[in-house]
Amino acid sequence: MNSLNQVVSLLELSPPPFIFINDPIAPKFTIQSLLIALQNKIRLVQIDGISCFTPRLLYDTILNGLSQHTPSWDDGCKNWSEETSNDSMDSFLRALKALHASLCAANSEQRERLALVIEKPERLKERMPDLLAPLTRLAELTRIDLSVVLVSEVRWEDIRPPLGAAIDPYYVDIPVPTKEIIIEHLVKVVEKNSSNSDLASTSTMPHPYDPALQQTYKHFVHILTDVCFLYTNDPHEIQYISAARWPGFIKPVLDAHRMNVEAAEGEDEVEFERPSAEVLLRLTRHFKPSLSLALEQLYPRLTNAVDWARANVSDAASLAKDGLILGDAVMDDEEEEEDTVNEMLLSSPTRSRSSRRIQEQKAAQDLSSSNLKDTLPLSASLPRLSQFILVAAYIASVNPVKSDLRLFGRGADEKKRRRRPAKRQMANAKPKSGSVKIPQRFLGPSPFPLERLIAILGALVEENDSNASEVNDSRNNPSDLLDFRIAGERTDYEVTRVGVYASIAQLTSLRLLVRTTSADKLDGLSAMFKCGSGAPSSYETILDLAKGLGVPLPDLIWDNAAMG
Amino acid sequence: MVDLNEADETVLYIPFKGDQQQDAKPLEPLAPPNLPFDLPNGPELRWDAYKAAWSKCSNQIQTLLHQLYEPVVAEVVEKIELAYSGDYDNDIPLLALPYAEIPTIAVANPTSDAYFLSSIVSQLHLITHLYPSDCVNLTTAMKAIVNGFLFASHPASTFRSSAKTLATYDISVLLAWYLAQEPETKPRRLILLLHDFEQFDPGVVQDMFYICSQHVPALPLILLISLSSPQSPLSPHSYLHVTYPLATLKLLRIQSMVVPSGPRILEEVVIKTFVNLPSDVDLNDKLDIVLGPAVLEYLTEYATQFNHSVPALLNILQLAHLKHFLTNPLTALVSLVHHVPLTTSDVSALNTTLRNPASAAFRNILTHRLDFCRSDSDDTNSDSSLPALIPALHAAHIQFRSRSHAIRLAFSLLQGFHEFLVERGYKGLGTHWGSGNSTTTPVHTTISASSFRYPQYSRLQNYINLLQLHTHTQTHPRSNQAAKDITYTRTLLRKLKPEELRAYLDVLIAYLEGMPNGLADNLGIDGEDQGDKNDGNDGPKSLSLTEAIQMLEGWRVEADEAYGTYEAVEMELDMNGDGAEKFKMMNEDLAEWMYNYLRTLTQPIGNTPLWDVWYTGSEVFPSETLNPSIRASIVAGLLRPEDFAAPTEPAIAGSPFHVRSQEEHKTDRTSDSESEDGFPIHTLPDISILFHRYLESGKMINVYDWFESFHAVLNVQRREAKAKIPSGGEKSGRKRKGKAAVKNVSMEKKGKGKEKESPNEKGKGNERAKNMNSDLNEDEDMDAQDNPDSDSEEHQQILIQARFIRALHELDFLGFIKHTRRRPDHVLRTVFEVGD
Repeated sequence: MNSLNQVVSLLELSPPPFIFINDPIAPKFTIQSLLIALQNKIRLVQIDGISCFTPRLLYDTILNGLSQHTPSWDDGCKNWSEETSNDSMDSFLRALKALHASLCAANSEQRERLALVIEKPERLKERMPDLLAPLTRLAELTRIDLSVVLVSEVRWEDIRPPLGAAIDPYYVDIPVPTKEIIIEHLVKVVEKNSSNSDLASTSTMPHPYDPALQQTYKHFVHILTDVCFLYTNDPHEIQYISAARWPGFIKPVLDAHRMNVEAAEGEDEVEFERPSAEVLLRLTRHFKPSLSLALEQLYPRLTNAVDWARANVSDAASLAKDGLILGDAVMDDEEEEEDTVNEMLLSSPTRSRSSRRIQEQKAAQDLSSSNLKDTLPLSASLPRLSQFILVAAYIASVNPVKSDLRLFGRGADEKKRRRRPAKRQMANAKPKSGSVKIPQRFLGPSPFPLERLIAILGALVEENDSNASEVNDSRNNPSDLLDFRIAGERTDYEVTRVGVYASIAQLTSLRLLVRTTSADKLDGLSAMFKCGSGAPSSYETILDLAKGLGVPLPDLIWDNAAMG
Repeated sequence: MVDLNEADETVLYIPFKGDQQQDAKPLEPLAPPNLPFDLPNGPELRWDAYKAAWSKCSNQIQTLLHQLYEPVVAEVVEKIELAYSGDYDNDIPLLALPYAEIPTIAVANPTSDAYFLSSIVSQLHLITHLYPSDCVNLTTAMKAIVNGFLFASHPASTFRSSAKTLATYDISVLLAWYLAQEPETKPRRLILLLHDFEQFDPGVVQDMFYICSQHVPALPLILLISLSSPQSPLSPHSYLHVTYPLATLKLLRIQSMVVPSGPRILEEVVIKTFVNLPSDVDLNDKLDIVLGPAVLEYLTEYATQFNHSVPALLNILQLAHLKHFLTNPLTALVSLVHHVPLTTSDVSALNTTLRNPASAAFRNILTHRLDFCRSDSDDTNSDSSLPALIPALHAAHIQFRSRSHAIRLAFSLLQGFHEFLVERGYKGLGTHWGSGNSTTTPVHTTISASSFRYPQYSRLQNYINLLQLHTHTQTHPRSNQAAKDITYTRTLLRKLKPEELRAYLDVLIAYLEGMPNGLADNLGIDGEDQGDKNDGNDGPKSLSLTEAIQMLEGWRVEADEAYGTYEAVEMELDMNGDGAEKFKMMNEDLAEWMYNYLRTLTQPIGNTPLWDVWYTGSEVFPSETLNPSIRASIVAGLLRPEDFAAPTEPAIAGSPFHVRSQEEHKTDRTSDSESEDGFPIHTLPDISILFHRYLESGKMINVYDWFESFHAVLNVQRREAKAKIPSGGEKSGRKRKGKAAVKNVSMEKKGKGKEKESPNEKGKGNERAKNMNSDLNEDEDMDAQDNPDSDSEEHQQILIQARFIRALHELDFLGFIKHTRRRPDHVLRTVFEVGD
């Protein structure tokens, strides 16, 4: 936090007109800390490059923010400034000066210092490149005591307006947050929450953020940070996971206390004490597997904290297993339960603790993934032909055009149908001069024309779709009335049906295929498609689909070695 | 109107009729055409019957679907209502979140059924609908949000922006509005509904979410996202996770919902609609017509191959209904003969209709059909005069109903027996009747039953098999499956253990007693008619449910008694007691009874008189109308337009492929410019002429050559037309000349650019047109010697040119032509015949 403290002192004492803070990890966290540190010290406004997507919004937000003016609905959302202040930089500067003057007039004893904290300035550069240079020179242009602070994940070199238009900033680099910083932040959060009046007033029972639990919380945070630090060092992320896990973690202790209170029947106040070291150890042992599970599911937001916490409340049995049904007044049935659990444990003394933990973790996983159960594999949720289309699209996306005839061509010279032998990557092969060929899997799916997709689809259906041939046999199919003499003609007929085009359109609207040419262009090049990102361009998913359809996908991939 | 009997008719030729259509009024919906043997008002009757039948069917399916949706709708609404109050609920306060998230409910709604969203919307207030078209950029998106909520709260409340106020797209406006609301009437949530989420520009949406998240929870926004991907919105491969960066996902508190859809739902809807027995006591069947195996089979095929959404199902069913009513004159009876006992008004309506002398043909065919069917069952009733006809009709209808119910009863008996066995851990009748936990097993395992064509629709397939039990046994070997199933049922019944036998009897009796009374009676009636003619089967003489139940009850009592002794015997470990023997007997009895009962129940529907009025039978579904092969159809249409033009179409000037005299036809046959099917090329429409030449050319077509050949053909056409206006001996000479011209100019296969056509010199299109004009003039000079009227000749040339351009553009629109920048006077072919 040294560098941030530096900024705070600078802004308080004698700020440079332009400060650039580069924080590649957690700019949001940095800004929050900065705002908290500067609260009530100088007049500042925090804006961000996304919300202020037009100059007018930018001017309005800055002026209203600095003047602490809240537009009210009743007077038609008037801005602070009486003059028109948002149509150009000039009027904005004028208004800014007027604002400063009025602020100085309001309290004459001290000079008003203004500061502008801008988050995501890189977006301002995208949208309003002309404004960035004047913003950095705002102090110079207005001649008031004002400092502009940009906080960004990218470096100034990447945002800087060309030709040296902007002045050089005072550079501040925020280091990667260390464990200590994160723990300090998390503890601060819980301190803030423990004094939350809402919680204290709702019930006389202690809540998870009770001040008495602070030491326990510190312990918990240490463990959590140890687990998560390898994967993320954004304090907000770890705070998110902690918020999801902590109430469940401390729940056995709270429950025990509640039971004690009930047992005492209000006769004498039962003091709420922080759990003993032994209980803490048991808690830790019980909940540690769920911490990494929480990280796995919450960090990529496969679920949200509230739902995760709800789904991962430990049930009594598993708690009892770890001796976590606490409290003196244990219910009879629970005692029994514990007994049976103990018996069970005794009866299998050979079972090691670790295997049990793995099982627990698995059980926890099952539990928490219950809301993911409804995930259907593509094979179940798509009609057969759509599956064929996806496989064909994948083949068209990864194979070079020239390979099509070799892979799918049939007829006179059957011999041709061979993949290029995997002669690549010989141990002492001399690196070729010139441009290095990047394997297709690193390039992502390449676009292909619709005709190619249909042609490959035809080849796949012709050779692999036993269903279609059966269907063709059925007397129900009126296309039997047509006469197909040439091999493959029927398949050609089948794959140019309206249903096929409709399926392609449907897949496109699901973004499983992506149309790369604009839809309103009829003339010229035919429509181009490529596999959508995610599932439809992942080899594993398509391999699954292909297996279900009986398509030998590995044989149909040209550069198979690259798929490894 | 498409002729639904012509299964392969896929192209309609709508001839050009000048511009008289432009000011024509929109056509009245046509009544279906008259059919042979039709009643005088048959088309109207059938049309009304169709409408009634279809709306019943469609309503039934919609109702079923909505029942399936209901729980999901309720859950979504609940989630929305709890979105801002749920944080403090029960015992998990989550206070320490780093920042407020926007509550988001992502609904995977693969069918995109509007009903689902609308029923959610109807239960909530203050919703702003956002469509992809609203969000082309961030400004319009934010404007849509702000205005949407202002408008939704009060249609009159708008925000006028000026230079001194906030901008209209500023979310602070919304915030100011929200803060200004009275505390009592303050909306507790603002719902933003994003339709077709996949179609939104992710860049815009990211920024939009970010801006919204900056004002949560001061502004209680809730996002409701409607996705059409079938995957759950929270799986790692879902559209949300694949498309949006983590930074955006972090702003949202996503909860996911999946709307039921897919094969299972489709099958359930179909089974519930068409297969399950009606639960109404009065048996007033909800549906007018019964679908035959052909339609159901096409349905399963289409659902497996192409689309298993409910709209697709509705399309198919509607088409099946339409075809049924449009192709069979007897279907007029559907609206005339009702399920309920005839009231006097019904009878009189029927009477007057049939008495009409114009409906004699209809009456005749009716009496003939009824007589025919009656003759082999009941000879006394051969009096076919009108008074006898009406009750006969009614009887036929009731008989048909009971027959269709019987088959469904057989299906549910088999299904019930299978489920009974599966419950006890047996395999049951086989995997095609569904495995025990069929609802949760992934499809891959059921595919193991690969002998079944539609593994996802095996139950429906079973029903189809039952319908086809007695038909097509030779042509359709797989339909034997139903017979196998019935035989296997007998085998399994014989092997039931005593306690299982008792349990099954309980289940069976309970099931049969649960049947509505009307059904029991109806089957009884049917039994009287059909019981006698059970060919060779010495099975039960009656299908009456009440009798069956009585008999089963008797067996149950017997079984209970026997079981007592059996148990006692078993206690003493003596298996040779006569309890076991008795059970063996009972097993045998039950198995035989069940076998014969099922055999009787599954008599084909087609055996009833007049079955084709209410049953689509094995009529082929007009699949080519629904799902034609586009390219083949268009090519066929272009090559042989005469096959597709309605024969009654009057001759069209300019493209006269009307019926010509035999003589004329013969002379033309000698011509080499004739299309393969006997029509000379110059009798075809312009676009077909061009297309014929197109197929003859190489990979690239020189437009000028193309025009030349077209011109030549048109010259022949013109001369033919002139020759029609009698002009004596001139005809033959001209004709020959015309033919020669056609021969000469017909394009060469490898025709590259012609000698004087150098694209580099001419370049742009208009120059080419000029060039064409000058060439035309030459041509005209040549023609002018023949025809002194050069003014009209010039007009003619322009006409030809216009027709060429028009036809060329038509081909272009159809996608047959690709232009290249390199050679502007050439176009590329896009379609090649297989032989090419």
